[in-house]
Amino acid sequence: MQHTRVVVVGAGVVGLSTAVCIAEALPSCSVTVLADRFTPDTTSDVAAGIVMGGAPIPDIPLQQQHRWFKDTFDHLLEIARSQQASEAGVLLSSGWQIFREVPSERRPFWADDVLGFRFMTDAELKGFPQYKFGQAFTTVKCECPIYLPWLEKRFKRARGLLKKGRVSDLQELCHNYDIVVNCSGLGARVLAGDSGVHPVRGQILRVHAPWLKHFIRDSDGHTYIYPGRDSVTVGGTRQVGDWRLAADKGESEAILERCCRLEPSLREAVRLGELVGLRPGRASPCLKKMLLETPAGRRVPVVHNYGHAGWGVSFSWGMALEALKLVRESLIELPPPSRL
Amino acid sequence: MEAEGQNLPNISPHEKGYYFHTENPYKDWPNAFEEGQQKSREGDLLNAVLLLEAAVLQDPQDSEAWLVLGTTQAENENEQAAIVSLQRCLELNPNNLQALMALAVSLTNIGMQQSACEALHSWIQHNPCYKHLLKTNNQLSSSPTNQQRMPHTSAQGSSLLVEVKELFLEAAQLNPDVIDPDLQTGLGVLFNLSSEFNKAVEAFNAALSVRPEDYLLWNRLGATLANGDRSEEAVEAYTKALELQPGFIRSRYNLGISCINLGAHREAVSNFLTALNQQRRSRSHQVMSSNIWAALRIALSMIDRPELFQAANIGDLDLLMKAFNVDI
Repeated sequence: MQHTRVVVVGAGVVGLSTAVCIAEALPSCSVTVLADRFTPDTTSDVAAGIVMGGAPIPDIPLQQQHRWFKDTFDHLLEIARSQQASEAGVLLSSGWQIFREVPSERRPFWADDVLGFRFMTDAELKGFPQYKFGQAFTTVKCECPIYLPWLEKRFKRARGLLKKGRVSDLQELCHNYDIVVNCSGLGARVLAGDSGVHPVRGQILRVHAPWLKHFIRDSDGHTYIYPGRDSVTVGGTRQVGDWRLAADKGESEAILERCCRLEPSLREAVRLGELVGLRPGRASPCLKKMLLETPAGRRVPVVHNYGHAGWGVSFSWGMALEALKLVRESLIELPPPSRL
Repeated sequence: MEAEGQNLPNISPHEKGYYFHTENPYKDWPNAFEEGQQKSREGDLLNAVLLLEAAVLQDPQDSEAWLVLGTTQAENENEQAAIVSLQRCLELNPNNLQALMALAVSLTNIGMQQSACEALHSWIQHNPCYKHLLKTNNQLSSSPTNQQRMPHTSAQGSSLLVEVKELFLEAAQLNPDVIDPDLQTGLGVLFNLSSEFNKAVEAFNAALSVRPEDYLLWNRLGATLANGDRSEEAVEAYTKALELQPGFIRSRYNLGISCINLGAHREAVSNFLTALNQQRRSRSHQVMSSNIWAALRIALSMIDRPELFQAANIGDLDLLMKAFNVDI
C-alpha cells in the first residue's frame, strides 16, 4: 500500500543523520533527501568534526543537551571501535583544550561522556606559557568528507533516495510529500523564515603534518589544530554575520601564525588548501514539530532540526534521534489511507 | 461491550476470532440469512450484521452467510471482522470467487500485500475463464499436490505482486473486446498495491463502464483517487457511491478523509459523525469503528476546539453531533 512520503531537506551531517534514523526506524516511510549541495560541497565537509561540547546552550534544558551529546558520542564511538571505522571516517582523537584563564566550570557537562577526561598536569601546561588551565581527553573525530558518503550509502541501503534540487519554499514540498523535515542549516533563514539564523563564518587550512597526533584547541574557539586521517585541520575564525565564501589570504596567515605559537613544528607543514564554511548560527538549535498549511488548507507536519552553529557534528546523531521521535508523532496525526 | 466468540458456549471453534454482538435480538430468527442479505442490499448495515451473525451462529457451516457477513462488515468499515468472515467462508468453500476478491480488497486495505496477492492468485486459479493461464504458463503454483493452492512463497513479496499482475494483464488480453468487471477490479487492487494509482483508476473505470450502478466500485475508485493525491475527484466518486447507497459507511468514512486532505475539516467531522451515528443507530455503542473515531480526532485536532477534542476522547457522540448540527 502507499507509503508515507517523508522529505528531508539538507544533506549535511544533520540532514543525513536524520534521514538515516527515519529510514531505518520507519520502514513504512519512503524517505527522500533533497538538497542543492551534497558531500563534498556541504558546510559539514569543512568542519573539523571533532566531537566536543561547549558552554551550555541557552534556553535548552542541560539534560537535553547532554542527551544529544551523549547519544552522538556513543554512536560515533561504536563506529570508531568497529571494523567500519576507516570506511566511515570516524576515529579516536586525544588532545588538549587550553584556557588563558581558569574557567568557572572546569568540568563541563560532557566530561563523563568523552574518554579519560582529566585536568592537564603542570608538566603538560608548561608547553603553553600563556595558558593557566587545560583539559585532556580522548574523543571522536568524524571526518565528514568520508563520513557523509558512508551515511549516504547506509541511507540508500535503507531504501532512501537522494535527490538534488533547490527548494525556495517548504510549501512547495507539501504537494509531493506527507511529512517535511527541515535540516537546511543556514538555509532555514529563508525556508523557515527564521531571521534568527545567521552565518558564523569559519575559515580553516588543511596542512600536511603527519607527525602531529594530538589535537590542541584554545577554548576561545579561534585557534585549533586537529590532526585527522589524511591531513591536519588548522583554524580558525568565528565571524558572525559574515557571508563571504572566499578564503581570505590575510586570515590564513593569521590563523597559521596563531597555531604555530601553540605548535611551532607547523611552520614546516605543507599547505594543502584553504576552506570556508558558514556555520548555521542561532541562539540555540531549533528542534520542533509544526504544521504547515497549504493554500488548499491541507496541513502537513514539518519537523525542524536546524541552527546547530558549530555543534552540528557533536549533536548530529542525538538530535536526529529526537527528530525521529517527532516524525513518529507526526505519523499518528496524519489522515489514514482511504479504504477500497 | 463485545465478547469474543470463543467465550460463548454455543459457538464452534471455527468462529473464534470473530467478535459477535452479545445481545442479538435476531438470535433465533427464522430466515435470518435471507433477511440479513436483504438488509445489506438496502444499506441497513447494522441490522444486516445482526441478522447475518444470527445466521452463522445458527449454521456455522453456511459459507454463503459468512461471505455476506464479510462483505457487509467491509461496507460497515469493520475490516477485521470482514477478513475473519471471508476467511471462514473460504475454509468452507475454497473456490468462492467473490470471497477471494473481497478478501484481497480487505487485505490490501490493511497493508497485507503478500496475502492479498495470494488471494488474487487463487481467484485466477479457481476462475473457469482464466485458470488455464496457470497451466500453460508452467506456474510453480499449479502443482496439484500443493494443498494450499497457493504459489510458493517467494522471498520477495513484490515479485509475487509482479507475477500476479502479469497474470491478470494476460487474462485481460484473452478477450480484449469484452470487459470483465471482476477481472478489472482485481487489476485495480493490484495497481493499488504497487502504488500505480492512475492505472488503478483506469481499471476501476473500466469495471464501472460495465456496472455503473455498483456503489462498491465507485468507492474503490474514490479511495484509489484519494490515495493517489486526487482528493477532489475522489469526493465526486464517493458522492456517487453514497447516492446509490446512503448507508454505505465505508464510503462516508473515506469521504471524511478526503475532506481532511482538502482542508475541509468541519465537513470531515460531519461525515465521521454521520458514519458513527449510522453505526450505532440502535441501542448501544458497541458497534462503532475505532478507526472512524481515530479519524474524527484527527479532524477535530485541526479545528481549535479542545473541548470537542476531549468529547471525542471520551466518545461523547451526542455532544459532538449537537455541536456540529449533525441530524440524528
